Amino acid sequence: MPRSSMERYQKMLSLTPYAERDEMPVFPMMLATFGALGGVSQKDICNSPDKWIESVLKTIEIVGKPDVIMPVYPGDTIFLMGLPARIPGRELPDDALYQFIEKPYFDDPEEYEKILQMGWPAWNAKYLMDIQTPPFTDPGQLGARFGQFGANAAKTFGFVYSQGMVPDFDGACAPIFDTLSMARSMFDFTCDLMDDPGPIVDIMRKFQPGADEQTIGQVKANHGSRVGVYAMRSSSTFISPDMFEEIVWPVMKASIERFHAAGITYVLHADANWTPMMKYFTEVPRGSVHIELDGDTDIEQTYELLCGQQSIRGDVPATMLAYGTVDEVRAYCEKLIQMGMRGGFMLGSGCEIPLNAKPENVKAIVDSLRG
Amino acid sequence: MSTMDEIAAAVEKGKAKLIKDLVPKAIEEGCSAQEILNDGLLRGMNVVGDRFTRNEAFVPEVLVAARAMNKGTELIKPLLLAEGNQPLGKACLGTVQGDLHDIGKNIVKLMVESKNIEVIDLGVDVPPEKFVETVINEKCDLVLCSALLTTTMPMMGKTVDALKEAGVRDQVTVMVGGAPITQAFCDEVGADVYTEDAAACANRAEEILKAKRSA
Ligand code: B12
Repeated sequence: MPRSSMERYQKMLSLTPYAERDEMPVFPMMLATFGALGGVSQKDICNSPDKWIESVLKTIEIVGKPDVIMPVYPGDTIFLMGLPARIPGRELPDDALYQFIEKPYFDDPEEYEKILQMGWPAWNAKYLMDIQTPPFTDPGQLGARFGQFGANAAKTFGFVYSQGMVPDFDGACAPIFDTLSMARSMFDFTCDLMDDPGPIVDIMRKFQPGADEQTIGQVKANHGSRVGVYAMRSSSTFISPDMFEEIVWPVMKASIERFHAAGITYVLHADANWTPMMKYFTEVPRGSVHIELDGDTDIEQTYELLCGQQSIRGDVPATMLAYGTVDEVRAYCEKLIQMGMRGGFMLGSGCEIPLNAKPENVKAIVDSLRG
Repeated sequence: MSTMDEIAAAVEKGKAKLIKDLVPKAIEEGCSAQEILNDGLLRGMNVVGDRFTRNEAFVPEVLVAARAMNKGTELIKPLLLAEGNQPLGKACLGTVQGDLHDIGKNIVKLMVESKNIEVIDLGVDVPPEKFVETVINEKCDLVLCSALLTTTMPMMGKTVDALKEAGVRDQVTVMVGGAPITQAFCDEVGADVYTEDAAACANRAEEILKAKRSA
């Protein structure tokens, strides 16, 4: 009997050495890339879960079947990301990749006081309404949009399981710190942090526990055990290690422990450079975090540090997939596989595979374990 | 500590409010705007830039240092003009067409400006023609292109080609950068210089312009 993807995933979570290569899970991360490889337009995969599913099936025929897959189709991922976006077929050509745009949603640090008064859930709902195109004017619209997301998710998660694949997460969120950074925009948020981090820290400490409880409810409702956490703003690309230790880590650590107590793995989508931050993940319970690296963090150093403690995924770089050769991808994967045989490692791309990746390079990732 | 040392230290620590008091104090003491710029503001910024290159300082430190430096240059701008301060040269900078990432580009701008080089910031999503037009109209010495996406990297090659077509390729040094860019890619598209980070970019830009001046 061939091994199932779920068996491989569980094996990885056990953090014990792999006896053979076939035990290691593989996750070439794609979302919009399915459209490009599967020959379905970006407009279609952003507007219809069915079209996206069609593109996934076509892509699998070409590059082979991954063990793990993004379970939410692009139209909803864009909505959940919490940034204003340009959409193919709306503001962009039909076959362009959707784009997030970062522009300041508020430009007065007084807004932090307002958040403390209003409470995070009310403020965040208002923020989500305001960044839609066109903006939502009635809270009912937001409720309806979440309802639609629920219906779509039922379909896409059902599809993922029916194919024997494992969803990357069963529920997803961005920490309050990261949402604030995106809403205020990078430069101003950084200045606020340097000038007076007090109100920001107050917001995080006061409201992150409640936000986590809500996410736990969402994951449980989905009968799941993994939460995807999109936290790129907490990396050393954006803040200093000192700020991480003082401001981000105490709150993140409590979140990890809260999810762990609820039986949920914290799947940290760690885009950008987290190298100086990795040591902190030895402080939380063994196996409580799964870290997805994008090629910017030193993966070998991280693996040495966390081996036997937390699992990691990574990290064939986007540039290699677009411009490199099959041999280069193979060699890169081989190095990662050799490194990861001591357990707790998932072979994958660094974040999402770019739209101009060569199909044969993507196939080479899957083939390096299954070929 | 002299006022000039205090200015450099305030920039280094990102204390824009201190700069507001220190710069007028230095002027009162009879320092020239040129001195305040070079021995105070830019010196402080260069320290941060070097620490950034050595991975000892991070983006937030660079941003607040630059904010303090800019506060200071704003205060001495009229004096600098009156003294006839000549920037080392002129650069146009932008994120290439199709790409909206600008955090790295903005840091490049701050660092290059900290070498007393004038930077015309064309923003994001900049088509090749816009670079060409700016080079011609503004007589730029440097073209600085940033790209963060594998799908937009080829626009750097298109920009080099457009400069050639317009007959101005030889007048400018084309520098390229951004996380996915490599030296090999720089060579392949016919650009002149690649550096990994913004501080190195500023150092190279300074070298190139100094060499051009003494030539
Ligand atoms: C922040 C970010 C965003 C923000 C951008 C906000 C902003 N105002 O810029 C938002 C959320 C809007 C965004 C959007 C997108 N992003 Co983005 N983003 C990032 C992230 C996390 C960090 C980039 C960054 O700012 N780094 C910090 C700066 C300081 O570093 P830097 O830019 O490299 O600059 C330094 C050097 O490179 C150099 N440098 C920079 N420019 C120049 C120029 C010259 C001349 C020189 C010499 C040097 C130089 O100096 C700088 C300082 O030292 C990266 C992840 C990563 N690992 O890099 C992804 C990343 C770049 N994004 C990616 C993607 C895919 C996207 C989107 C397409 C996602 C989507 N589907 O919407 C969109 C693209 C929209 C568009 N058309 O541009 C991918 C790109 C992969 C690929 N295909 O090539 C990355 C790598 C993430 C990943 N691992 O997949 N993104």
